[in-house]
Amino acid sequence: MVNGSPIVEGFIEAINLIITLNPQVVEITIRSLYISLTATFFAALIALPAGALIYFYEFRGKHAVVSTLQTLYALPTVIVGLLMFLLLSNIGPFGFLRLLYTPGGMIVTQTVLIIPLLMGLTVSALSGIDRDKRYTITALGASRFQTVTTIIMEARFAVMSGVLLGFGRAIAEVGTVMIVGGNIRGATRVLTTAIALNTSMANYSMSIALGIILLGVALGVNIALSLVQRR
Amino acid sequence: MIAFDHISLSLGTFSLKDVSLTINRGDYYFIVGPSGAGKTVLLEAIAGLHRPERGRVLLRGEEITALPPEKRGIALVYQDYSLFPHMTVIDNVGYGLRMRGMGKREARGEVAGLLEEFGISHIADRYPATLSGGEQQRVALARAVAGKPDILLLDEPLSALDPVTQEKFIHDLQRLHRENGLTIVQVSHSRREAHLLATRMAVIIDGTLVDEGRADVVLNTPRSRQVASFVGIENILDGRVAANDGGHATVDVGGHAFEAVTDAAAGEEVTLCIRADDVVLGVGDGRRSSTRNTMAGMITQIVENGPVAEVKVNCGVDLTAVLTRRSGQDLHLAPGTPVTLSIKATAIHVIRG
Repeated sequence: MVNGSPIVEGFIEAINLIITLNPQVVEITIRSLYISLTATFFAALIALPAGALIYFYEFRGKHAVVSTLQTLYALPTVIVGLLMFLLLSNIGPFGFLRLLYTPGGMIVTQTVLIIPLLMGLTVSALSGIDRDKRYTITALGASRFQTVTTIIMEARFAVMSGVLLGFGRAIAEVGTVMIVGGNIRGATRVLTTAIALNTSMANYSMSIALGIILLGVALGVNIALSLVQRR
Repeated sequence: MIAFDHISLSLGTFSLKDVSLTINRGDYYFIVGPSGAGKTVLLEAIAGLHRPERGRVLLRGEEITALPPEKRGIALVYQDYSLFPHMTVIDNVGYGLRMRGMGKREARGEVAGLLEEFGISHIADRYPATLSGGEQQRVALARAVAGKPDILLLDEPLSALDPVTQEKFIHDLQRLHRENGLTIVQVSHSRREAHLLATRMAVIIDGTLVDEGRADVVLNTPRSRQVASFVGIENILDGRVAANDGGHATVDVGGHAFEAVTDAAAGEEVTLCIRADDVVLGVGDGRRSSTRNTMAGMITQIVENGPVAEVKVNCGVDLTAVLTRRSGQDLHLAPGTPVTLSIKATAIHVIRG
């Protein structure tokens, strides 16, 4: 009964696709990693300094800003996808950039998606440095700038954990890239959208192969996270 | 050296109220008070971490109220040590020097002698997480003095240490104060630490400085009942002066007469403070002696604490005497034993009002 099962056969074929480095599997994997890593890089570039600013400066409504960021962690990705579609489409204000259905548009979308998460986690990471330590740093003769850099250095592993979580959210996300990227073969097809498409077409071996790779990436992120958190 | 001139500041619901004090060069200054009294806030205010709303801070006579912490020449050590977990011991100790522009290698060379002095050179390359509490404390102290501060501020530095390590650390602090002539300000709950280390001290209760001066004076002749209770005077009795003959007063405490030396006039309400060490306990009838207060009573409780025993006696009023456990054993003391207590009139501190 087991032999000949489409699932088992799919698994065997999937392993074969991975081992033989099937060009389509490799191409989709590389594109996924490229888009999500680039998005994580840009999001970190914006969110880490912004998170640090929120943490270090006192201003009216600071608590509300942090609460809003935390609320945005749970923002449905299809909503972000829809919003970005409207912004990047010909009828939107950024239509002239011609980013819709391109990897560039997907990078921008994933960047927007994970910025609140990275900002919120940066604030949390810096808040993990206790008050006594901040005061000790200052009392040891550090200037304001040196105090800020020392606190960021102290929290760097917690900040890196946040960045890894952001990458995990970006690469595992399907709603926004489907809407903004359009899942175009050879252009904007990534691991998640390819799995969705191949499953709907009953091409299980390809779905399983891509699923195993996506799981592998998630596992890699998890291992990296535990290594970082152990520091 | 550093003086607070009518300083007031608020932090959330807590406030320091009109605090004035002077810490002189070479003082080992204790700030004591109950939990939540404002001791740490006062220490942080000295460091410049909180800006006063009113009053002035003076350093060597010059106003430094607005001077930022890094320019005050002050180092601060918290009770949790606040070491940098991702830096080795030697880099933790050299941190302050690097913040003043010294290179990493140069700072390491500079602090090598200090590591020797504090007995931590063998752990120079280890990380704080691998150190014992005592080692962490030494690292924190070495880091604080590496920048040669004028004043070292310590926030309950002994509270997280076991008794044996506490003893060693008290010796370290005594040596640091004696040999380096460093001015040290320490926040503490412990009267014992104050006895052993303090040259001057302040008592702060609910954000207000209620007593200040030479440590032995504050500890033995407190200004108020509240301070007496806090500095651990075992026998605090409320009474009224029945008569005063040229400073030699008879005080009525619940129908029992105590003789004490005070200027308080007849009829004045007073509080008598008697250290348990000043209460001499004997068995049988009291012999004739120069002691002005001799009273018979019965032991109600004996609390043994290491080599000493606190003996509670009811003589009409409840009094506590302290003696060595061996004395207690030699005298065959037990609850119910009739005893005689003797207290010299000069050993009684009288608080007026």
